[in-house]
Amino acid sequence: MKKNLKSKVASALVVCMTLGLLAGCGAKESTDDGGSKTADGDLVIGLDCPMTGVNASFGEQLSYGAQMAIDEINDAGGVDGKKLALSIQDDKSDPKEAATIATKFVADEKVVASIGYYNSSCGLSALPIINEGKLVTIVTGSSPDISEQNQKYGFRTEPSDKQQAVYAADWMVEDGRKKVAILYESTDYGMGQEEIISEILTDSGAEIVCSEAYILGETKDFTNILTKVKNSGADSIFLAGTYTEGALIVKQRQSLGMDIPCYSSSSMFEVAFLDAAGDAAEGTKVQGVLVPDDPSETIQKFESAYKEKFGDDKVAGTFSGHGYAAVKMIAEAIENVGTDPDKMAEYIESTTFDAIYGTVNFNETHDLIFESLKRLVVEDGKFTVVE
Amino acid sequence: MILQIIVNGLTLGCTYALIALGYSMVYGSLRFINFAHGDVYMWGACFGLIFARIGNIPFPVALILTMICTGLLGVTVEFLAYRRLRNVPRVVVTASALGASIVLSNLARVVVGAETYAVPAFFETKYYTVGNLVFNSLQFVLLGCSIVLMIVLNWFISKSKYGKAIRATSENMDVTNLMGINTNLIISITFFIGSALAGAAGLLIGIYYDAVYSTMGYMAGMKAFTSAILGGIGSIPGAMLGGLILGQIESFGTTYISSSMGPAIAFAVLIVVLLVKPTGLFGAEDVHSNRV
Repeated sequence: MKKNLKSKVASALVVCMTLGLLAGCGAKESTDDGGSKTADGDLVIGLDCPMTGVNASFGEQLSYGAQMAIDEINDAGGVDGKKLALSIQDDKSDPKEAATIATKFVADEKVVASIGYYNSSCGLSALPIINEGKLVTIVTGSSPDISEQNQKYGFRTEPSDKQQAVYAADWMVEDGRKKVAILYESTDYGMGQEEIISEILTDSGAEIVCSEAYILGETKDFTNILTKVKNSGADSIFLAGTYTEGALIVKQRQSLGMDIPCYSSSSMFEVAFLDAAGDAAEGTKVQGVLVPDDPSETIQKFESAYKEKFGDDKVAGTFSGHGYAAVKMIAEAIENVGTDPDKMAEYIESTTFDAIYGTVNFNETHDLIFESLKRLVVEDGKFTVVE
Repeated sequence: MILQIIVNGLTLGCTYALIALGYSMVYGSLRFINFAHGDVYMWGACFGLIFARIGNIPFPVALILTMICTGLLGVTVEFLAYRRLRNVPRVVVTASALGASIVLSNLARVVVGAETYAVPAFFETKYYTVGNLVFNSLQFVLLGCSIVLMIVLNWFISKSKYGKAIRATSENMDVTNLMGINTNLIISITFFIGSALAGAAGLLIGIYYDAVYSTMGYMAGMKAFTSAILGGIGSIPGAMLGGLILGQIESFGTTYISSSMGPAIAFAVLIVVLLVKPTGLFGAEDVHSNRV
């Protein structure tokens, strides 16, 4: 009986281990998804983004946007007669993974440039590797530290947290908010936002009546934090965090009978936020770069092509725009100066691009200079541009 | 303000109490910590989400269905992961429990998905304001369900025949067996009840926070485990009281100490209890020693 059990347990363990090994190998060997065929593309652009985990929706947007640009360029005959291909790698929002992926990109001769790096921490861990390996890279992480690294081959297309916080704070000052409560996630992002917002608001005469941190992915009960906010007599809330917690906060704010407005930055500008928050999201003020409802012709064309390609339920958001724009910039650089990384970096540095979200160029720290942030407010369950 | 904090803490505390009951009951009869219990609670939230998405299911029906489903889930876990390990060292059972926990949470990721999902409403939430205090109907439902479930459980354990058998099993399994009671069946019933209560807690919390996600079992399970220790592991009234006390401690702690310290405060309580009075509030003196 006992022996029987032991052998059963042992064989079960062997089976589990074998499965585990197989799964591990499978994970290691699957270099692409999204049906990109690296083999027949002469020029490969590496995309590092989270395809699984809490930020998976952003990874999806990046990869769809990039794929759209690649297909468009290939349909028009490619770059210098060569076809482009996309190699999508899942960094799971983990800086260690991003470093491994960056090493892989640098080592692969077919890879001419890389894009993505949605999480600032992933970008920060990958950039030194990218720089050493001389691989032109366009990142979308928004941490101010990225431009402080000021890597020769690294560029950033997302407005930095600092730019966004300044933009949000100006809006709150304009709206005459005098007593502000700040709820921020205890990450680099949240704390950075909180610092800048507090500074600008206090300088302009407003008062920060309450400033509370919460744990990303863990805090679900905001009722006590909000009870504190309510008691502090705040006339508005600034949310320095991502949409999952943002949705919980606006919902629980409603259940405590509070109707003070919430402000946030582009991190809350997500359809997922509206889905999760329902009618509690009404009146939330956010900002964004690429707005799906933007009446401009370019954007509308982009949106309809996106829907046609990936399905009617998909909405091209800010990061679809980033993926699309990054591929286009790289293609333009190769078209003009070839695939030498030094020449490409120089070209991107000195050129004004006509990107999907407007005319843009990079400053001396390789941040994008553009005036295209838009104010948005949630009305009838949709983000509406504030004129 | 103080009243609002107490109300918030009461809501938390009731769910901790419901989950803690399962920990305590299982520990009482089998002397090990069922680490998969938190994931059963998470499955309660997932079943709730599934029923809410189907729509047109009245809330009481959804609650009962969820309790039956999670109860059966608990029985299945016991049958597959623990039944064959009755007479092996406890470390082995604990490893098996952790394995079951991982299987359940990954299963939820496959079935429900990896994101945080909002739950379609079963009923319209109404708000009641008394002075500066805000209640909503969800809180009443949550408190009401929790209290009713606890009263029923108490009656069942102390008055019914099966309750007596459960108490006998936790007292001494071998002797209970000799009395002609099928202890395997009794343990299955114990698991069913504990898991059904955890499932109810999961459904209620899923609705209350309007958020269901596959990793929600871990932290809730840990806090409920702390509640069970605080009340005295193995004791049913202890688990209830422990949950309510921990809810209040956490509610006041997050408000007056730091809002991101919730888990830290809960586990500080655990450490203090284990240092000062390891048997908790109602625990029997010999509960941590191996009975013969």
